[in-house]
Amino acid sequence: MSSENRLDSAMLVIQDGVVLEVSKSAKPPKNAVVHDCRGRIIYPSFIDLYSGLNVDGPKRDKSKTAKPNKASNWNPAIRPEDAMDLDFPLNEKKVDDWLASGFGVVNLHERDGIMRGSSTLINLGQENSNDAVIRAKAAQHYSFSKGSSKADYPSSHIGAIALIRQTLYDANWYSKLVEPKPEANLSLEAINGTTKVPHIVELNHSLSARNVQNISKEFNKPFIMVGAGKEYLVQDEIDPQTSFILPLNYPKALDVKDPYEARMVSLAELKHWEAAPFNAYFLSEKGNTVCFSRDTLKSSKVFLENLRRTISSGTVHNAALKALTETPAKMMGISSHYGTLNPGKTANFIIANSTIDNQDFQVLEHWTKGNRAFQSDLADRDMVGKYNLVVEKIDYTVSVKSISTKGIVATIERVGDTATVELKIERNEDLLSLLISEKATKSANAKLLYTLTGKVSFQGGVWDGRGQDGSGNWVQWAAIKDRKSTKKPKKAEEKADSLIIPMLINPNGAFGWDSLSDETTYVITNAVIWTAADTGIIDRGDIYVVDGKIKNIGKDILFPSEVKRINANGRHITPGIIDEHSHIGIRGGVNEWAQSSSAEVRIGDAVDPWNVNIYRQLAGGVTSAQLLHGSANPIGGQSALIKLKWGQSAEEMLIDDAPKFIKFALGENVKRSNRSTPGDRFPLTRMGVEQSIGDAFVRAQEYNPGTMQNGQPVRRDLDLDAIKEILNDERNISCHSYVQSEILMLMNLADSLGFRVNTFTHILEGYKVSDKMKTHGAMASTFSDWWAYKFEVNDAIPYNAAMLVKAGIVTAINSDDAEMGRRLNQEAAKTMKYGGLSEEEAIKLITINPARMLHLDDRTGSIEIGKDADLVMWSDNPLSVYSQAEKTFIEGRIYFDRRKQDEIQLEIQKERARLIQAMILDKSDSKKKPEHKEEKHMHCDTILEDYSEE
Amino acid sequence: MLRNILVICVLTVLGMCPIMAQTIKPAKKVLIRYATAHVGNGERIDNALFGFQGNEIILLADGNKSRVNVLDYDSIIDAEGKHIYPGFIVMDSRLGLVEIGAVRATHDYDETGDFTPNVRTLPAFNTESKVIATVKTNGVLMGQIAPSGGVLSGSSSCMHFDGENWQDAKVRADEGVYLNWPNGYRYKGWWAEPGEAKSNDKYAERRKEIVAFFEDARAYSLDSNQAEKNLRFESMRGLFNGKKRLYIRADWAKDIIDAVLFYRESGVKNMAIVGGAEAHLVTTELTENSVPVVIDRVHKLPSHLDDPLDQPFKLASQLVAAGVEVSFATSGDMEAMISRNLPFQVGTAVFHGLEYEKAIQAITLNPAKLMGIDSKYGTIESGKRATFFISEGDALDISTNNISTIFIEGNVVDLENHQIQLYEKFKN
Repeated sequence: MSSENRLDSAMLVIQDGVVLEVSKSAKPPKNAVVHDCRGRIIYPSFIDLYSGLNVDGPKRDKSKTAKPNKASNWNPAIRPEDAMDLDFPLNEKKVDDWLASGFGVVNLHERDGIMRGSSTLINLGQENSNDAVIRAKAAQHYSFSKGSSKADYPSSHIGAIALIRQTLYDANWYSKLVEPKPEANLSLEAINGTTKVPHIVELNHSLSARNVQNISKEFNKPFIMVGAGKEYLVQDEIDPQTSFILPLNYPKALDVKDPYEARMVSLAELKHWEAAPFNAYFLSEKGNTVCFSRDTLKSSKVFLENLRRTISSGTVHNAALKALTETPAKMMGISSHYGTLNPGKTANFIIANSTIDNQDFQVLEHWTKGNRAFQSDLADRDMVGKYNLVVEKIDYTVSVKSISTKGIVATIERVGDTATVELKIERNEDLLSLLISEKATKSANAKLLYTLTGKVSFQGGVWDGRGQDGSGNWVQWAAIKDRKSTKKPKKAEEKADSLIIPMLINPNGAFGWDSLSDETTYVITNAVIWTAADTGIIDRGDIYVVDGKIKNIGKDILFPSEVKRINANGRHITPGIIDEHSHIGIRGGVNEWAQSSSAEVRIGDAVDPWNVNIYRQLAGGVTSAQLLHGSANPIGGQSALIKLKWGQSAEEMLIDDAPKFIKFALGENVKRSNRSTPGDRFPLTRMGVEQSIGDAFVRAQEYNPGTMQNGQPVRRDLDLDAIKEILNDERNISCHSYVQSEILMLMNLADSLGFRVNTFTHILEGYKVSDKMKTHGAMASTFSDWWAYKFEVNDAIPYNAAMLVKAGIVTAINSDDAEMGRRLNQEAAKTMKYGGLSEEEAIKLITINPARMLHLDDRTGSIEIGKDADLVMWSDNPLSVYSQAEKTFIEGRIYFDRRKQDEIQLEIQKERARLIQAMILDKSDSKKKPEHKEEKHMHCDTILEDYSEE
Repeated sequence: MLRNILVICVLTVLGMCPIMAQTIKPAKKVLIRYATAHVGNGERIDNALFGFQGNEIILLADGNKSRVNVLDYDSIIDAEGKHIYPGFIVMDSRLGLVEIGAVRATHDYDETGDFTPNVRTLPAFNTESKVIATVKTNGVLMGQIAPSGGVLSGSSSCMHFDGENWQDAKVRADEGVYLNWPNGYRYKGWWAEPGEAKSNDKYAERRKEIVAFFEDARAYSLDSNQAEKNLRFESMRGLFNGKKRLYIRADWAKDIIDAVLFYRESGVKNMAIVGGAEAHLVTTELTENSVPVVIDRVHKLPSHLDDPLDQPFKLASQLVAAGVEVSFATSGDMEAMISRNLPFQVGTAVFHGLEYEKAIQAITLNPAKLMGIDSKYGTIESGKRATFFISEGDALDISTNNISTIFIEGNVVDLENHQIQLYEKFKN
């Protein structure tokens, strides 16, 4: 009846599509048609809120912009006004397969766009829309994918988030417009008109749950999230009140028999394969509400198989049933009529041969609104098996091998006889006809023995009837199933009590932690300390760290005797390296390139804390980084300043109260010089770059959100918000630049418009205009020795950094590259070779100088009292190639310890071996060859960038 | 006190060196003494006596064991505390074939077509390249200039970096043929997004094409004077008679094994694997077939997410420990420009277990052997060409790589380059 309530040997009475009675009463009402379901299981129909039925790919127009005659939103990926149109009758074959997977109610929407419009909730198995539709505009659907929209914007995950936010602000603004409204916008009206229905958002990645949660808070709008599969890894960050629709779509075991090929599969993938079916279990344990969806799974078979995997992975039978019935009904507010089989509810139910946790589970019949909407073709899979057939006292053995739409495959043998006998069986509902003949041999022609007709009874266990022999004599016949030959229904292998929960680590792949040391108070003794401060290099000294902060440093400092000591044994300690220009750990694109200003996008939305490059940089001594937007447009997006707290969440990595930064870019990337087709986005020249930046600032100067203009409220504009912050000195610019002309241009523009360029990044011709930079107050973050990759770096010289330092510019060496990022110490050393900086000057280029640039120098960047204990212990002089980071500390915690690497690598090896073995032993079929995840490491200045908008 | 005077002396001499060297007539005999000589064959001489005349080295001896008559020499350079190295050699290089990465007009390394063994880098090599001038100033004085496109990319040549035209810069023309072995795994998606790779369903097909081409080429080569000339097969002759080496680019373990199996059947006399990201897994196959490895780049990220952090750094020492002969390239992103960091990439490999003099050998004698020029190049032993440099300190570490003197083929090399000129112009 429901997930909590089960009646055995019960009777279900339905009338006019509604449940009248469910009871153990033995007496059916008068005038009722009785169906004997002895031994059968009746469940309420399942409800799929994210059904992939009817998904034939976007049917919508693929125009580049919205159709103006529809008065819709400017961006074609925003179409909340659209409703789901269904052409009835629906494809019968597909519907049958959904009914066969247990789903009687499905919620359908057009899977296209970022705001996709509303869904229609229907009952399957109904002839026409009048009968089928339960509720139109049942829910509003969102995603992060622009779908068929050919508009360039948004081109990234960060852009999709910005577009959603801007649109929701627009809707808010639209509702406040004074009549007569200056414009009609049906999209915004649709948003404002559907605030009461559930909002369902499809996650493109489990890490996006964080984005949804932030939008939810910002707009006070609850969302139901459609899981992407790894929500179990972000559950600690997700509000337990959040409801999830979980598509039961799990990765298949891969073909990993070949040990070389198995290397193409990462530990993260292996671990996910094992843990994926536990997703519902983990989320439920945390208190999240979950329901299940078949989503776009191709066949009912796969869905039911995955449902069983879910049940054997911690979600017990009743919980699974609830996630398929009551919970989705409740989420949609249709519990009063759907989800259970209590009197008064819609008669939506399935008749099955066993419970859903059973390997042989099969929907035999599916009734919706009191009508039998589906009946298994093979009315009865039990028909398969061996039968003892007796005709005229002659014994035959009949084996029914298989039943399909093509017919019934069966063989027959006359007991104690080798003559070849053939059998044809046809079945229509419960009526049978059998044709038994002898095959032709060399000596004899084929000979018809019997034509039999009869019926199936006792659940297929007995067939009997009459027939005629070859001479036309009537005969009696009967066949009884040999029950020993039928397979015992197998329970799903593992029971909840013997459940082995997969161990999760942070992140859940190579180099993840199971637990992180909490030790943040100790003394590092006997170290060569590169303070990157006035004290210079202290030959042998101690660093006293208390609660992750530097309490004292120097020779012979005092500290309590009980404090733990870490003996550096003469090793070198430097401040943690700070990478001013990094693109590691960003997912869904680093560039929102479609518009010349994308100040509205925030890299912080796309921080990927699972990216292994974070750990690799840690191993190179990097503790903080500015994750920058790419350089595809003059005004890029907002930066994320992070500490590389590997194993923590994105929110925890983001530096608290970090100064605000934004990426600007000039030159070839912006003007799309190195693309095969530059397109027509303004600007395409350095001339245009000046104008496009100037224009943005002029607009920002005139922009006053929160005020009224021409009698209407000023529309909030996230793009101008960020630019306004620059004018208000609340946001700093880090500007990608190369040649002197463009550097001068931006400083002149800034002076005339009243803002300052905080940092020129790359700035390989900075040495030509260092005096002017100094006057303007700009800082410089540059490459050590890159050049020759494009025309504008022809005059890039490795002496640049040293020359800028000597000119009194605060200068840093950055990576812009995941590989170089782990050797920034070597890159800094190049300024000694090229330009003759001292060791002390060189180390500052990657520590205190970038800290100053990022306005983090009050908390990190040097080894001084009161600062965060962001430290690196080096095996030797850090400016030598014969040295590497041995320990990296962030806020006192050891996040990287090279001594443990062998042990960690061994753990990885063991865990891989265990999982590979499990995969090889996995019985599921159709294993694919391993797919190797190539980590793309991105930087905004390779040549490739220009072809891919990096 | 005496020592101090000596140092001053040396500084004076060397400070004048570039000017002084220009006055050296080719036939003059020059002696360099007191320096540490890294011979290139795995040996080091701490107090070396090193002499050359014209383009030929005439003396290399241990100063603690031998004596020379300084009067036999026209010029004497005291180089105490300094280091002499044979010119470093970068393999699989695009130097001189590309000037500006983003400007296609400056590209001459990737010919259209899949099987073009006959296209040669030699006549495309641009001796005027500004990039080359910034590479030799870090000690990289020679390179194997190799094409990169298609399946059979073309023929490589060994060049030194002091010629005024390719003819003068040529050390050995068409010494090798480059083959891009098909990847067992091929990447899908686009580069900025973590694209998946799947097994390459064209692998077998591609392999068959390669085998067929080599069979035809080999059959063709059996007739030393074909009536009807086939330029592609003509360029392959040398592979079957041992005059050319086949360089096969392959990274994955299985691909390497398969490439070795192909090589054994192909009739090709000499082969080397280039790339070799997973070569450490198949050292048995490599040593059993005497296949050396050209490591494409030390400074790169591990190939697999789960790989040890330092795997690319320690690949060289793993291979050497297993008896595989290695040399180095700097191919990949910004490959031409990055070759000036070859010494530091090799220095990184030294820190990760490669013995120092073996490391030097891997960028001197080993590549010279691969290209068949070791009788004249690759070490600074007597009888070889005077292609060497003097560094103030250890040339493999960044802050000590300070090269004061370069000779290529006995000619003193101008240490100027475009970048130094700009530095001088703007430094004040």
